[in-house]
Amino acid sequence: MIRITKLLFFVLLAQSVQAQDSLWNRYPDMYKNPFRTVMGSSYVQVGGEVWLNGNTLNNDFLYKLYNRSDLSNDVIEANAQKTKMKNLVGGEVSWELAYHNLKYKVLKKDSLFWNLRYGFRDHTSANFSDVLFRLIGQGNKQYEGDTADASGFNFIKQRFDYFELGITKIFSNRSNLSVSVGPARGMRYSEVNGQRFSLYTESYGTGMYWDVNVNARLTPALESTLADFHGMGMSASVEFNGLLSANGAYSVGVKNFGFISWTADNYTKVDTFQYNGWNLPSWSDLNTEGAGQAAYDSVEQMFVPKKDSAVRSSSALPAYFYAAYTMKVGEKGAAGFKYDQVLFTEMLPRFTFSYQHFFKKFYTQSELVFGGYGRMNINQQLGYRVNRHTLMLKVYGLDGIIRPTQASGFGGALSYSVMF
Amino acid sequence: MKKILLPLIAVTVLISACKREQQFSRFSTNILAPIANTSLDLGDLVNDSVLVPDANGALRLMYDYELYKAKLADYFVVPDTQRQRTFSLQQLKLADQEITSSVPLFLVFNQAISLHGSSAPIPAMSISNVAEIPIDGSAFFKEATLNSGTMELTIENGYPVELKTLIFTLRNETDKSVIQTDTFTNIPPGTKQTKIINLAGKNVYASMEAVPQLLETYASNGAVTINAYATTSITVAVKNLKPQTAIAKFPPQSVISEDQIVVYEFGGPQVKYMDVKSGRIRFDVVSTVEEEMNVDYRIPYATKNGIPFHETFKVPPAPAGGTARYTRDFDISGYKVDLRGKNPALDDTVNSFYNVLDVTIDSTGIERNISLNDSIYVYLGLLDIIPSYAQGYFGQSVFDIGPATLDFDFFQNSSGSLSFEDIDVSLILKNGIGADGEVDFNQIIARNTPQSKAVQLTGSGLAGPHLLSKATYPPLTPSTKVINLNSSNSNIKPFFELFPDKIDYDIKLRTNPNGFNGLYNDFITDQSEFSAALSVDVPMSVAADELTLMDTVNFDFASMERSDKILEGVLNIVADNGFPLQAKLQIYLLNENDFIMDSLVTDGSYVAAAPTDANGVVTQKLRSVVKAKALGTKMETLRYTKKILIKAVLDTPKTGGTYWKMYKSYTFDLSISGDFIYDQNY
Repeated sequence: MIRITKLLFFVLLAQSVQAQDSLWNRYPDMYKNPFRTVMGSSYVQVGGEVWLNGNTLNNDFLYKLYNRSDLSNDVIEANAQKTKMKNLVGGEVSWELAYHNLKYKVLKKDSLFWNLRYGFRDHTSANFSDVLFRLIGQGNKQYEGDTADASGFNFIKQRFDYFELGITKIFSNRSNLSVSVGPARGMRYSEVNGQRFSLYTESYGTGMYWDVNVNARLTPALESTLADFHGMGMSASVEFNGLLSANGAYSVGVKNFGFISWTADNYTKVDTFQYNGWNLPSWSDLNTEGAGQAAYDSVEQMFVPKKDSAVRSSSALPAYFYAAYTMKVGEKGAAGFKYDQVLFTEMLPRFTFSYQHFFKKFYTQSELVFGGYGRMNINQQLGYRVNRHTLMLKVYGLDGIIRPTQASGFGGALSYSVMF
Repeated sequence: MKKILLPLIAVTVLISACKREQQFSRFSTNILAPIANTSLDLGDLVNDSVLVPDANGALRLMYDYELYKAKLADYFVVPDTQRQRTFSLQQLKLADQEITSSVPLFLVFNQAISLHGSSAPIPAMSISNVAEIPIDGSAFFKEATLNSGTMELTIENGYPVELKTLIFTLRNETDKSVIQTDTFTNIPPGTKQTKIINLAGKNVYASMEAVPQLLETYASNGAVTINAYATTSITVAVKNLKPQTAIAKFPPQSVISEDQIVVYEFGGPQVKYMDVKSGRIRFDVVSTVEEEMNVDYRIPYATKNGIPFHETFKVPPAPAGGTARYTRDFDISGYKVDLRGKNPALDDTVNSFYNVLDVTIDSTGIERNISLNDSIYVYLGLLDIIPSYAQGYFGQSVFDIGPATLDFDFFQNSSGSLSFEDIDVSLILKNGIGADGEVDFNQIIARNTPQSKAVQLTGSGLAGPHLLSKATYPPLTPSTKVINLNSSNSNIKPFFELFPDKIDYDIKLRTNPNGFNGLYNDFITDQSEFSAALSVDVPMSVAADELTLMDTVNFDFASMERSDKILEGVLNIVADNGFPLQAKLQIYLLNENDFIMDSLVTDGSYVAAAPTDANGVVTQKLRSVVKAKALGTKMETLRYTKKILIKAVLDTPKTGGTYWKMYKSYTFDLSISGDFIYDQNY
């Protein structure tokens, strides 16, 4: 079951000014689109989103990984063959509840409105090498007599919620600026960084030579409820929308730009060591009670990292940055180009080409996406309004759904809003 | 409101329905990791052995097995010796005593006082009612029944007239029993007359009285000066009173005086001198005598630092009608004892322990009831005597060493054939006793009980008897006899190559085989031992043919942490072999009842022998890999395994030599790694 989160960012699409103006006006969450001519009503919106993508791993693997299903050797091998020196995988689960006020003016100013929102984000980002994938997924046997150099991997996961209070200024030239700010509360933070991580396995496994420089920061315990948290910070969002021409509009903004100061455990393992198994001074030592457990303990001891408990450190929030341009196409269509990226993660810049078309009661939006965590994805969005209710459904990675072993990336979004 | 609520509820349900249950994703990985490593040399392969390299580094196996060892206590034991005697009081006597009473003149001549000082004639008198004269002996005794003794009655006439007749009765005042009646006649004035009364068999009491039955005097010759106070004295003297029983204050006297010779029964040895390492003399005295007694005990010829053994102690008085007991131990450790009798230089006997006992009564001045029926029971024990040295003649004794069986664990857990190029075995006999000896080997048999085979050791080297000279002292220096057995004088090679796990032996040891030399110079000390040992010296130049070594080790697979994550695997036994020995390995899986459930090595792989040069010396180690596979059902069996039995069948190469020397530098490096499918979860 796909989680539904509130869309924290949305693609602004517009119809033509006159006959199409009413189409842009139709959907409440398009009220900041410069093609919109009439200010809408206040509304409440709740929505959620979940997605997972990778630039080498296929959906078959990602889906099973996400759902914690069993991974067969065939699936792992098929994906191992696709991995390269640097591989990305990332995903997000988020939802948001927002109130957009378009009725009550702030400080009695005509074009100043306030809004507030409460949201949750859990962003995961990783980069790893093909060697690391094979080492973890298949074991070191394949590297017998060889060195498995899996250095340079990074994994980061942040889970936090935020509460922002914002003000939107509507300018007469149909541009607008929104600024919101508020506290952010950190729930879970996990970061593992492997500058050096190589393993040489001797023939027949008689010895292992490790060279590691791995650091990890982990919040101490899993949170059991949303009330558990391990850090506090601030989050801010800024967005500007404007018209470039009668048929062209642009939008640029950043969401959840901020930080959280975490209380986390620090683990360090910087070592070069050799492990040749449990050394028996005498053959009869095998007969000692607990010999097997002693052997296990000696191995475990070698690999235990140094731990510093309850270290305070800060991290930047996975801020979402975007810049988009939308152009009207005919009376009911609009084409768009967007550049976006989740900052302070492994995510690469993502480029989206979209086409939006308005029908009587609904609109569709088709997207061709390149980059980010994946390679190429096809997304499809559908918005439907009845009276004051609007429902939006988006599917990420249609190609991945159709061809799971060839494509990667999947997800979905669902939101509901009601005007009043 | 409903129009808003319904969609909101729907979305909320969708959100909550998306919440995943916590579960783990599983995948399997192929892990290759080292488990254990060790390096074995020959010392790890052969049990409890001492490997000594020669100048070239070739090893010799040298090991000593003790066949028999006997110490002093097996040859010479000083038995506990006890003497118990009951002594009656040998002599008892009461003190001589003398009591004098006087009868003044005026008691027998009424007018004496009125005529006192004047001169007048005294008529003849006859008086029959003279008052009793008390005689008080209470200062000396209360009563006594006498075995012997005398009483002297002396009448000394102090009157101025001659005593014509004095009939005198001596009687006990208490019961008026007459002790003696006697008559004195014609005692002139100023003279005395004594009569001796035999008191044997008489009962006398402390309160006696002398009763003059009749006193007659002659008239005086004319007038005489009248002294009314002139007395005639009666003296009663008792002498040499020896009571049968008496209640009296006894004077100091000896009641027991005895010397004795305790002859030890050593069961053969004739001992003249003995140094006592440890031991004690126990006195246990029970007495009915109501007087305190002194006990004086001496052993004149037991000396320590030149001082003879001498102890005194007091035995308390017995209560009336009861007994008193006194027990005490005296330590005689460190004493040198001459066992040549009462007069050692003269008697010069053997095994004779001379000692003297004296018991005396001290006079306490308290009345005691003592009789010749009273007795003293004396227990004298010479106990737990352990000599540190004994000298004499120990006789001709035969000691059977065996038949007995020695567990021979040299080839423990081994079977198969192991040939030695040469074997040198010595039977080492050590005599720490100061007496000549002679040893016969009745039989020595090697037995391989699993194979039901035996080989008796024979050969000219073994044939006896083998003479052992006596040890010397001081200091104690045992004599050693080495009987060398090798291939030319015995069948020692097949004896050992049988791989015996038991050796039966039956040996006879005779002391003083040539008899008594008249000198009594045999000796034995507490450090003396007789021992027989087998000393093995084997150059480790061997030929092995299916020499099988086995060992069982505990291995509880299921108890190992995360062992359930191991789905299946292969154990790589990587051997870098530095021995010229090929080894076929097998690993058996055993349950808790030592039942073999399965084996792991199935492909017949083996550890190859290391290559050697023309001289049979290993030039380099050779690596071999033996795989023990735990796949499929074998893996399931491994989970139930509690022990593993490791079996190695060793062979030396069949070409390039017959015997292969083992050198100190040879090692067998073993690494065990696991190539297994491990169940991961995420």
